[in-house]
Parts: sequence; C-alpha cells; structure tokens
Amino acid sequence: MNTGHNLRKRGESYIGFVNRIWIANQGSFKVVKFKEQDLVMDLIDRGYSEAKAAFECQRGSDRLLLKAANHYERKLGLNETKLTAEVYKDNLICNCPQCARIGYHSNYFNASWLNICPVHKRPLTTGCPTCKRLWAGASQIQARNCEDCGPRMDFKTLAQRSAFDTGIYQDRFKILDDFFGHPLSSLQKNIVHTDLLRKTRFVNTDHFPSKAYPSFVARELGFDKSQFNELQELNIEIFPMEKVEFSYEKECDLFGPVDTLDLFSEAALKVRKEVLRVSSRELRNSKELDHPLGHCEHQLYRDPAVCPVCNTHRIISLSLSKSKLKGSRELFYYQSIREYDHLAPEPGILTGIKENRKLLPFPKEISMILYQLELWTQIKIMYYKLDRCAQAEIPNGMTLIDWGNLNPDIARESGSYSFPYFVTRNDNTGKLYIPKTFFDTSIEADAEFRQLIFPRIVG
Amino acid sequence: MNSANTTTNPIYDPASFSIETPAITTLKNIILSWIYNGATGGFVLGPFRTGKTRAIEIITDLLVNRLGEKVHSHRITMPRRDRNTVATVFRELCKSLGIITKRSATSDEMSSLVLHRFSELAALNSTRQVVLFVDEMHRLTLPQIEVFAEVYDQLREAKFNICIVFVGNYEASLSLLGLIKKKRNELIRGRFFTNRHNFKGITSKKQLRKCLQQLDLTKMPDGSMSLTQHFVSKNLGSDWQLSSIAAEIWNVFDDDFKRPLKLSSWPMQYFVSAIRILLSDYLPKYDGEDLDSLEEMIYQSIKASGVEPCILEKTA
Repeated sequence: MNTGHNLRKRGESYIGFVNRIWIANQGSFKVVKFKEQDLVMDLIDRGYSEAKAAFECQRGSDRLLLKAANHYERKLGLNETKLTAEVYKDNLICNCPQCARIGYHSNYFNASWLNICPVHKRPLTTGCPTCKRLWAGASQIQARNCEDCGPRMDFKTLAQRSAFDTGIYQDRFKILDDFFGHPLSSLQKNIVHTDLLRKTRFVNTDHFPSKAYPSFVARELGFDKSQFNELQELNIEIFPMEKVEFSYEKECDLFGPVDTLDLFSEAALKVRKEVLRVSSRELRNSKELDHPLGHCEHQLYRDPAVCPVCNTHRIISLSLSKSKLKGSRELFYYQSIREYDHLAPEPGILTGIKENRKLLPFPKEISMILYQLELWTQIKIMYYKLDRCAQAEIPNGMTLIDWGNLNPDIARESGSYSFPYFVTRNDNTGKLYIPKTFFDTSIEADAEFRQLIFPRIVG
Repeated sequence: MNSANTTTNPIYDPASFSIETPAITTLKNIILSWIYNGATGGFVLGPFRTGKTRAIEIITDLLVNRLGEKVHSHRITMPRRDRNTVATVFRELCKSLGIITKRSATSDEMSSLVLHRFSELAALNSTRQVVLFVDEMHRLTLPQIEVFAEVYDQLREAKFNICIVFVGNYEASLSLLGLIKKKRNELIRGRFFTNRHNFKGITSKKQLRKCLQQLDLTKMPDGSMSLTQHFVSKNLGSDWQLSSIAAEIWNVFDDDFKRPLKLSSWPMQYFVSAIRILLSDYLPKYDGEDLDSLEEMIYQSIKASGVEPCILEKTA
C-alpha cells in the first residue's frame, strides 16, 4: 500500500486523508459499498454534533439522509448559483473546487468563518461544479466517478494539476494554524476528535495490506524493525474463559489501515478481526441480565464486566471497539469515560514517547494524533473498567497478572484495543487477565483461533 | 577437514557472505557519479557469476546525493515469463515493491501505484532522486523497456528524478542491445543506454590482494578472531595473513587457468569458492615453508572451485 504522502498537504482533513489513500492505491482496493455503520460519520461530516449524529443514526438516519440528499440535490441541480458555502454551511461539506481537483480537503473549509479558499482565492462550494453533486464524505469518496472530485486521478493527471506542490499549502495554512495555535489546542482538538470518530469508517473497507510493507517502511525509512518483533514476542499468561455464549457476525470485516499499529503484525490483524466479529448479542438478550430494580446500565454498552448496580460479575469483557458501539451506546460510552479526563497527561508528554517509538508507517503527524487520542481513550476506558470491576469476584480458572506489571500503554501497544481481557481492582492493586498466546503468529484458521481463545465454547 | 566449528564461519554461508571488492567500489563510484550528474540511467554489463547482483545488493544501501543525503533505491529482478507483456513488468514492479494488486488491475492502475511509490521514495531526499536497478535486463523485450521510459517520463513530469540502471549479462544482452542501437529506438537509447560500465571479476594481482585483505579483516560472528585465523591459527600462528600469499595465488591462477583458458577475469563466485576450499581444507595442513606444496594446494583449490569446466563449455 502506498502512503500517498507526496499528496499530503498542511491542514488536511480526514476526507482529504481518505481520498489521498484511495488516489495513491488505485488498483489495490475493492470498491466499498456504503454501509449503515457509516451513517454516523456521514452525519458528522455534514456538521452534526456527535451526540446528535448518534441519536439520528439510532432512529434510522437513512431516511433522514435520503430526505436531506433529495432536498439538496434539488437545490443544487436546479440552480448552480446556489452552490455557495453560505446557504448550507452548517450541514454540508464545503470544499474549494480547485483543491478538490487534486484530492485535497481541509477542516478549515467547514469552519463557519471561512468562505474563500486561502490558496486559490475562490469561494468555497458545497458541491462539485463538474458533476453537480454534493462533495462526497469520506465513506462515499471511493465510489465517486467524477474526475474532478473523486479519487480516479492517475499520476499523470495529478502531475499536470501540480498536485505534488505542497509549498503553497504549507504557507497559507500555516497562517491559519498560527492563528488558532497549537494543532491540539481547544479548537483543533474538537476537529481532531471528530476525525477520530470518523476513522472507524475506514475500518469497514476491504483492505489488503501488504505483508512486506512494514518491513519495507522499516528498511526504507531507517526504522528499527526489532521493535515490531518485540511486540510479537510478548508472552502473557493464558486463562480459560468463563462459560459465555457468543454469536458471530460474518458480514463484518472490521479492520483497516487506519489503526496503524496493527499493520505491523499480521497475527494482530487476524486476532483483531476475529475478536471484533464476536458479538455479545445473546448475552444482551438473555434474561439473566435483567436486574430486579428494572433497567440495567449493563445493557447499554457492549463489554461490561460487572453490573454497576449489583456489582456482580457477568462476563469477560470482549471488545472496546468503538465501531461496534453504535448510537446511544457509543454516546453513553464516551460520556462515561469523560470523568477520567483529568487522568490523561498533557499531549506533550506523549509526543516524546511517540517520537521515540518510531513505529508508524503513516505520515508522522497523522499517526501521532491518531495514536495519542486512541491511547487516551484507551487509558480512560481502563480506569473506568477498573472502577466498575472493583470488588468483583474472580471467575474460576482464570490466572492473575499483577496490574502493576502491565501498564495501559503496553496493553494498547500490544496489537489492538479490542483484545479480550478482564480487570479487577482491590485497594491498591489491580489484576488484568489476558490470553497468553495472543501474539502467537501461528494462528491460522478461524477454528484454531477460537479454540485458543474460547476453548470452552468450541469444545 | 579442519576440526574447527564450520557452522559458525560466515564463509560457509555463500548467500549472505560478502566482501567489498575493488570491482564493487568502482561500480559504486560510477553509479554515484551518475547520481551526482543527474544521469537518467545507464547499464552495467558483465559475464555470468561475476557478482553483479551481489554488488548491487551491497551498493543499494550506500547511495547518497551531493548533499550527503541517502538516495533510496530499489532492485527488481526481471523473470522469464510465457508472455513478455508490458503488464508483466508492472506486475513484477508491484510485487517487488510489496504492493498487492487486484487480479483485474490494469496497466494504468499498476503504473499509477508504482509511480506513487517511487515518488514517495524520491521525496525522502531534497534532490528528489531515486534509483531503480533492473537486474537480468537480457530477459526484457523492447516494449518492456519502454515501460521504464514511461516511469521516467511521468516522474519527470511530477518533478521527481529517477535513475534507472539496467544490469545484465554481456553476451545474453547482445541481441537486445543490437535492437536498441537502431535509430528508431533513439528514445530508449538516449535515456538509459548512453552510460555504460563493464563489470569484471578479479583482473590483477593488486585486486586479488585487496580481496584477500578484506577476507583477513572479516571477523567471526562472535568477534573473537578473524575469518582466516579461525582456520590457520594453530599451524601458522595468529599473525598469518591470507594476503601474504596473494602473489602465489595469482601466479597459479595466471599460469594454469587464466592464460590457458583465455579468461578475462576471475569471477567472484569461483574466487570465493576456491578460497573457501583453500582455507578450510588445505591451509590447516600447511607448514608455512614448503612453497611447492602451497602452489599445489592453490591449484587444487581453484580447480575444485569449478572455474575450469565452466570455461571449457564456453570455449567448446
């Protein structure tokens, strides 16, 4: 896979990022169909807040989207002069037609105070003047056939359109960055956080990462490959799972290039794919979970270890994947971990760690931001779990790992934020339970994997 | 056979054992001069088994531009296929670059993928240069070489500089070079076939001594002693150097093999093979005084290395 970093320009948004990846990798990806899971992200692209988007999605936003699309198409198709940013600024993606011709989009274009492209000095529009359609969101952009706003641009066309000149973007968008301060300042943080949510869409694409690519990057860019191997050689105690029944959602193919750390381990990719397939649907529907007091918080999110009301242990936590947490569950999830915000260190501290790590194949800045935010979320989720799991009974047959020997950073780094684990915490110490051979590269077949992780289920 | 532990000696692993010979140094300087002068390409010819591919493997990591920045390079070995099409070349390029393509990917799509990857490599230095080595050029057809002209042209249009170096066997490439010489193929010739370098094995006593000195300097994997001392320290002492018998080795090769067989140079594979036999099987029994027996040992080593039958077939 190509990183497309020659097309990368300052101030690039997530839409621009996805478009850039598609452009640089034509011929190696399948065309992805629009999926319902992408609705939240599309609504966020259209300027909805996260909460509102999640809510609308829960209600079935396909109708809402369709309605909105009909409305705007009618507007756009009838009168081209209404393609101005002012009218639908709050709800639609805005872009500069000239920037779109080289696959670029910036988050600044969606800001309400910006009406003119800083580079080309042309008014921002809400649709493509060539194909008379709305600018595509990140999920639809791969399927766009328009040669001006889609990713179907070959290298020659890009060269003729001077897409590889990054200097002018560097200068103009530096002014905006300077004005709004550090990329992770309060204003930018909002944008980046939205991007973090958007990235789950990329997970849903059919993707064929090259096995050789990590080593290629490591060799060409002078990175230390031994660090990848260290991750794979981690050997953590295995535990037999408690008796839990799961169903498998075969239609989901939930992995992709955005979670860049996972690119380094094929085994991690497979594991993550398998784990994400596991749904606790039966668990949620089972009557055991109905609490005598009535509605149980337990049912609101995917991976509860303990009922917060009665403090009884129910299930080994399975997946922290945000992509599986839809709608109000996702909203609840984010709200619930927000109380641990104060535990996250300043971004600068992690920046140092990140730079020393030298692991990521994607452009450094993008990877760093994604990594930081993912890590904070992960740490906060861990704290949340630790609190919720306090005083829980240790299930029979599980092996303990001293929490002190396993910091959240390692847990995150060890392949994914979706591996199965269970946490308990006493006064001063916590215990984490993780499968021993999680990084075993010999995991080949699905059955083998299930046998490994869920021996009691498979039999 | 010497009682030394042969499993740890690097000379027993021909696939990964390498020394920087004078021929490699020369080739490196030539290619560096091409990079410095902004050459669009060139070609390197040489006999079979002289170590061209190994030389390029070594050079790949050593290329820099005038500013001292690393110039990234990529090496592709052209395979022989049933159908020598343009798409074959692109597919091989994608494969060697680690890009997995759809089965239905067209030449246009694969071309775009390859160009993006090369432009990424080129953008890593401030002169925007990248080098592509095409090994086994004699397996290419003329339309397939035009693929590289397209790669060059399109990168040029995007303001990236690629230097494409073709490497091949001299005699096997003659028919291809004959085609390229024709006036209608000026486009290809002007781009890639104006700079030429002839790669040879060991041609003189001086070069042989340098190669042996390199062997003397090569340490064992544990760093305890040199590769030579590992074999001969018991009977010849720890100060004995392989390069001290360079004259004898050259004389035997010159008199008994080079002149009778009309060799232009000593191919590296046979050289390393002969030295391996000499070091591990004969020199541990040498007392350091009897010159006749030493020359006999050298003769038998070179003979066993396989240089003779190869050339006999050729002359026959």
